[in-house]
Parts: sequence; C-alpha cells; structure tokens
Amino acid sequence: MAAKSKNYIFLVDDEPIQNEMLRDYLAERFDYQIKVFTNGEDAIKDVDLNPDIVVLDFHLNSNKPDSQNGVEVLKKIKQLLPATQVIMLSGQDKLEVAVDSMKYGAYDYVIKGETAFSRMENILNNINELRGLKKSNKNYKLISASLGISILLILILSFFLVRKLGE
Amino acid sequence: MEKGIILCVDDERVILNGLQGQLGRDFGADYAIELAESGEEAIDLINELLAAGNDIPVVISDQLMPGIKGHELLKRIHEITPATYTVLLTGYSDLEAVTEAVNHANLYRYITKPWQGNDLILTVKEAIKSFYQDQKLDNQNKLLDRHNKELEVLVQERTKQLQEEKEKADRAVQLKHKFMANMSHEIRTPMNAIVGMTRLVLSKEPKPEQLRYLNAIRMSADNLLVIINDILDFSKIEAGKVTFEKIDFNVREVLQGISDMLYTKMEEKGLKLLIDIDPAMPQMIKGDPTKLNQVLINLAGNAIKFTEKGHIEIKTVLQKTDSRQLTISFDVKDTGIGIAPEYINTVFDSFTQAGSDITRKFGGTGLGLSISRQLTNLMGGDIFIHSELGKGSTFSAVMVFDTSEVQADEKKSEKPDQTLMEQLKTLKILLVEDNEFNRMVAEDTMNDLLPGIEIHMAVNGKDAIDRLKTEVFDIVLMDIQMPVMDGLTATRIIRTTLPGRSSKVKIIAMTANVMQEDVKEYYAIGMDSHVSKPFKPTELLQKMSEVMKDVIPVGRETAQIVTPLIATQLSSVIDLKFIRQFTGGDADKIKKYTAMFLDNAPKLLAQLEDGMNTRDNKVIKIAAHSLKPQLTYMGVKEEASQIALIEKLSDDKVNVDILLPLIANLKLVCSMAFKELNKDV
Repeated sequence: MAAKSKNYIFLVDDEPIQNEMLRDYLAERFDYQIKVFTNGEDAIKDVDLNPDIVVLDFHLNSNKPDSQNGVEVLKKIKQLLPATQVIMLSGQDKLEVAVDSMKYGAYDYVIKGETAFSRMENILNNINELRGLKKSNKNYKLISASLGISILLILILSFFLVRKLGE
Repeated sequence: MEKGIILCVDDERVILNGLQGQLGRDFGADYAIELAESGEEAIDLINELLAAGNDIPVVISDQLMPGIKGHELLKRIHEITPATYTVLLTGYSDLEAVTEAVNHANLYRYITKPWQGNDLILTVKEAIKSFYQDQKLDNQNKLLDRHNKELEVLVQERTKQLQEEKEKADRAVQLKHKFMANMSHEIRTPMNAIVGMTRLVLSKEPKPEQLRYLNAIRMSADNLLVIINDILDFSKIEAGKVTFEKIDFNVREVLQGISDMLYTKMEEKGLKLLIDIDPAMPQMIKGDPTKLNQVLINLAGNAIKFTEKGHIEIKTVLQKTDSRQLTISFDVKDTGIGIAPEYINTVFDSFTQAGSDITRKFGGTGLGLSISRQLTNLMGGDIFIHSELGKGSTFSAVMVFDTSEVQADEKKSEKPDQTLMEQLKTLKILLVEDNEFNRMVAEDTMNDLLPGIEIHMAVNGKDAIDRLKTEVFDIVLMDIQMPVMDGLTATRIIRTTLPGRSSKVKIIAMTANVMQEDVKEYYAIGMDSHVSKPFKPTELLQKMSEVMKDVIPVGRETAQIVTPLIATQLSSVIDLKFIRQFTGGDADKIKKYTAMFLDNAPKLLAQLEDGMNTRDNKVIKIAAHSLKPQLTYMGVKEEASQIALIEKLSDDKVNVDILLPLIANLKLVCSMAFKELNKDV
C-alpha cells in the first residue's frame, strides 16, 4: 500500500540496534520518510513534519530521570498531533504497558523481540488500510453521486425521445 | 408400770428383816423391797427384775458375806445396771473394800453398822431421787440425741440438695461463658466480612449518599464490635481466663495512642482532650499496656459519651514509688452529666447503668465499667469515683506497675516504611480461610494496599498443605478454625513434614480468638505471628513486614534458578537465523547489526556491573531491560541468558545478592556470544 512520498514515520527509542533494525525493516517495505530519535524531546521538536506514525519506546530514557518517559511523550504528541497514530514499543509484556498505552491514545503496542517487526508491519498496514478506506469511501460517495445524476439525465433524455417517436 | 425395786443383800436374816422393816415404812408405798441372802442370789434376782422391766434405783449390800463379797457384788451389779445407786454396809470401817467399791462400782454411799435409821432412809431417798433424775436426764439426752441425729440427716439432705443446686448453677455459668465466648466468635466472623467490605467500598469513591450510608454501617459495626468485645472480655474475666503481660512500655505512648484514637469522636462533639502527665513519671514502666489502654479507653470513652460540652482531662499522678513498684493514678475527668449519689455505687455492677433512661439515651452494655474495674483489681488497683450531678465526674484508676530496667528511649516506628511496602508488593501469599467472604475481604484489602502482590487461596489446612507441596510461598495467612483440617494441625504438618523451603514458610495466624494462652500455643506450634480478625490493614502490613524483615522474598521466578552457570553446558549461544531471515541474507546488514551489538552490549554489561557494585536495583533493571531484545535478535535464548529473569528479579529492594549467580552466568553467555560473533562475521 503505497503512500505519498512526503509522509513521515518517527522512530523514538534510546536503543540504537532497535532503531536501526526497525528503520531498515520499514524502509524496505513502506514508502515513508523515516526519522530516528533517541529521545522524546527531539522528536517533539520536529512535530512540524506532521508524521503519520510515531513508534515510541514505552520505557524511553528510564535511566535518565530528567528526560520525558514514553508515556509523557505519547501524551504530548497526541495533544499536538491528534491525527497521528502512535505505536508503543515495550520490552516487557505487562498489563500496565497495555493499559497506559491505550489510555493515552496509542493505536497499539508491540513487544520487542523477533516477532515485533512483522507485528509492526501489520499494524502499519492496518493504519494505512484504515486511511485508504476512509479515502476510498469519499471516492465512492463521489462516484455514486455522479452515477445518480447520469441515470437521471438518461431517464429525462429517453422520456424526450419516446415523446418524439410518438409524434 | 412396775414398781421400783430397792434390793437389800445380807447373809444375816435379822439384818434383812430389819432393813425391810425400816425401808418398808418410808418407801413401801412406792417401792418393793426385795431381799437376797447372798451375792449369787442377788445377781439372779437383778437379772430377773431387769428382764421384767423393773427399775432398780438402789442396791444395799453387806460387805462381809460368804461367797461373793459386798464390794465385788456391787461391782458386778454396776456392770449389769450402771444406773443403779449402790450402798455398802460394813461392820467396821473396811477402807479397802470401800475404796474398791468406790473405784469399781461407782459406790454412792457406805453406811457403818450399826446404822442410824435416819441415815439409811436419807441415803436411800437421795439415791432414789438421783436415780430418777439420772433417768430423766438420760431420757432427755436420748431425746436430744435423737433430735440431733434427725437434724443431722436433715442438714445432710439439705447440704446435698444445695451441692446439687450449686453444681447446676456452676454448670449453667460454665455454659453461659462458653456460649458467650462462642457467640462472640460466631458474631465476629461475619462482622469481619461486614467491616472489611464496608472499608473496601469506602475506598472505591462512593457517591456522597452512599458514603453516608457506608459510614453509618461502619459506625454501627464498630459499635457492635465494641459490645461483642465487652461480652468476650467479661466472660473471660468471669472464667478467670485473663492473663497479664509484663512488658516494658512507655506510658506517654499509651496516652498518645488514646488521644489519637479518640480524636475523631472528640472532634465530632467539639470536646477538648487534655493530657497531663506527672513530670516525675519514668520513661518506661513494666506491666500490661494493652489492659491499661483498654481501661483508659473505656473510661475516656464514657467521659466523651456523657459529656456534651467542655473538656475531658486525663491526668496521671505518680502516687508512690519505690525501687520495685510504682503506683500510678490515672484520673479521667469530664465536665459531663455526672452521676446521682444513689447510683455511684452501682455503676460498676455488670449490666448496670445509672438509670434505665441512660441506657435508652446513651446505649451500651453496662459492662465497660465492670470490666475496667475487674481488670484494675487484677492489676492490684481499683477505680474510684468522684462525681457531682450536672457538674461532671472523675474516675480515678489506680494501678500498680513494676519499675522497668529499660529506660533508654528506644522508639520503634510503628508504621511499615515505604521501602518495606515496596518489598511487600513482590510477595507471594497463600491465604488459607474457609469463609468465602473473609477470603474476599482479605484478598481485596491486600490488593488495594499492595498492588502487584500475588495471592493464592486455599480453603482449609489440607488444601494449604497440598499447595505448599508443589509451590513456594513467602507468607501463609492461616485461619485457625476451619473444617477438614484446622490451622494449628496444618501448621504442625507444614513445620514437621514438608520439605525444604516450604517447611520454613512464614505463617501468620488470623483469628477471632485473641486469648493470650491461645496465642502462646500458636507460637509454640511454629507460627511466626498473628493478626486478630477483623484485621486492621496497618496491623496486617506491620505483621507481614515483621516476619519478612530478615528474609529474601522467593520472588515470582526464583524457583526457576536451577543451575547458575548454564552457559558452561552450552557449546554455542548465538543463532543468526533470525537476523539472516530479517535481512534477507544481506551480509552488510548482518555485519552492521552484529557490530552494533558488539559495541552496545559490553556497555550495558558494564552498567549492569555498576548496578551490582552500587547495589542499585534500578540501574540493573534498566540495563537488563535494554540488553534483553538485543540478545534475542542475536539468537541468544532466554534459557541460556536468563536476562528476562534478571530484569524481573531486580525489583526494588530485592537483595541484589540473589542475582549474583545469574549475572555471572549472563557475563559468561555474553562473552561466548561476542567470541562467536567475532568469528562468524
């Protein structure tokens, strides 16, 4: 599902390997501009780029007490960019991760590990499909409206033709 | 009735006739004069006469006779009929015979021959009189004796009846105590559920209206508990089952506790509490602080109950002190309604209050003061009242305590601190309780206080043992009275037959029975602590942290630490299958990722090491958390690295020492991984 070339994905994680692998993985499969951040503050500075999707580490910067953690960044992003879908990444499958993620408006959460990448791909596809459906919905409405008008025109035309033949 | 007999014995017929003549004149009308010529004849005659039912008031015998001598005869007659009076006739003064007769025949008189007629008559007359007086006396004695015996029988019967009544009464009292104790227990168990669940609902942000109802339930339940406790205490005192501790304690702390406890009640009524402590009061004294607290709470509670405005004062006065003992007076003074003089002496009676209108107006069992006074008495003191109707009352509880050797101010903080709370949250608990509602209360209370705590349930002692056979727990909360197997039996079995760690599990008794001797028994069997039901959350936390003080929690997965150095058994730890598949076999990318891992992982290991050295659980946890996915991508299995286990175990306040073997293993696994990657790539 191809998207417009100027759409952004932000990857926000303080683990370099995770960022690198995910960037490579997504770059091969999606037509997004991918931008990598190692902390939430930098990512928020770049909100002007209006990313479609943000992938955010739940335990972001847990070793740096002054930095914002994943949940805080999530809240901030949803506040600044309500339409942006945020996917939370966590190293641990814990209930609080799921609950906090959903509570503050994340689209989904993914547990780090071998299956994380294909899960991520699925989620991105789902998001795009949703977007696509919304878009094609609009198109369908347009089409059905124009179809209606054409049928009406044909009916009127045939009415006139019949009358002409009758004369 | 036959005539009385006067018997004369002499071997000389002349004398006999003479006697018969003389005596016949004076006594013939009322008495028969019988004669015998020898001792032998006399004895036969006496036997005949007695058999015929005759009285023989007097026998007169000559001393000198052939055959049986006079004194010998009288002696025999005395043996046959002791009531008979005997008179001896002697020809000359035969002192020996007289002495013999006096000693052995109870000789009444002796008359020398020849005798004066008057002498004889007088002697016989007096003998007869004495005889009949004796007889009368004897009869009266016999009568008295009979009456006495009858009385004795009556008394015995009555005593027996009384004994039976008393036994019956004793049995009834026993039954009453048992019944009251049982009832109290039976009531306390469901009360536990009511109080506990009300508290839980109160913590769930009820609507204002619901809050009002819930507070009413809570207050009513609290009141009911007070009454039940009163009844239980009362029956314990009555049964003589109250025991007193002798521990060192701080009077000031007890008073502070009372002040804290009564604060809300006082606040509600707008009353002030003044506490005045004698400056001479030593820091520590020795006695039973719980009982002191109970008495003072009761007195102060009463004061609040009967005071509408003004203040309550608790004043302690050190009355007397020596090297061993202190006498302290606790005066609880109020500005309340006071007590009418006619009721002052009865307020201590059980089930009595100052007038029935008081009961209607103020409620209560009327047991509180009775209990307080009995407790005070048992502590070697008494309670005195000074009261004026309308002006207020002063209740002075005077008690005797021992001096304490501990005077140092060793204050122990009562509340479990934050770090302990954090530790408690990681515990694994087995709750053993047959009552479904109480299970719910205990579970929800603990979940509220200690989110994250792991609670498992067992419904009786046997169930608990089955669980402990297959799983390791930190604490067992054990109910005492349960069907199938009670808590005491279960504890005994856990301590003696279960293997290893399970036999050493901490056991806290939960019981509505809070008699001291029972508690001693619990400890003797091997329980570590006890909480009374309905339990207060802080008390439960306190007890839990106490028993866990020097113990490292099992942690959820510690049981899985099998062999610390798993790595030594493995030839290879990495597996690049995932990375190859991920990159589609792109060698450059594989190289890039492994290079990043080789760069990053040693840094994280160093962080981990740092955390271990500084014993900083958080640093360990974060480093482990970051390392975990990287190891996964390099195909290092959890079974080899146990990195997830390290992350989980490095919770706050877990002793990092338990991680040592795991970290050693991890380092070995990583160094193997580094080596393999360097070679492969």
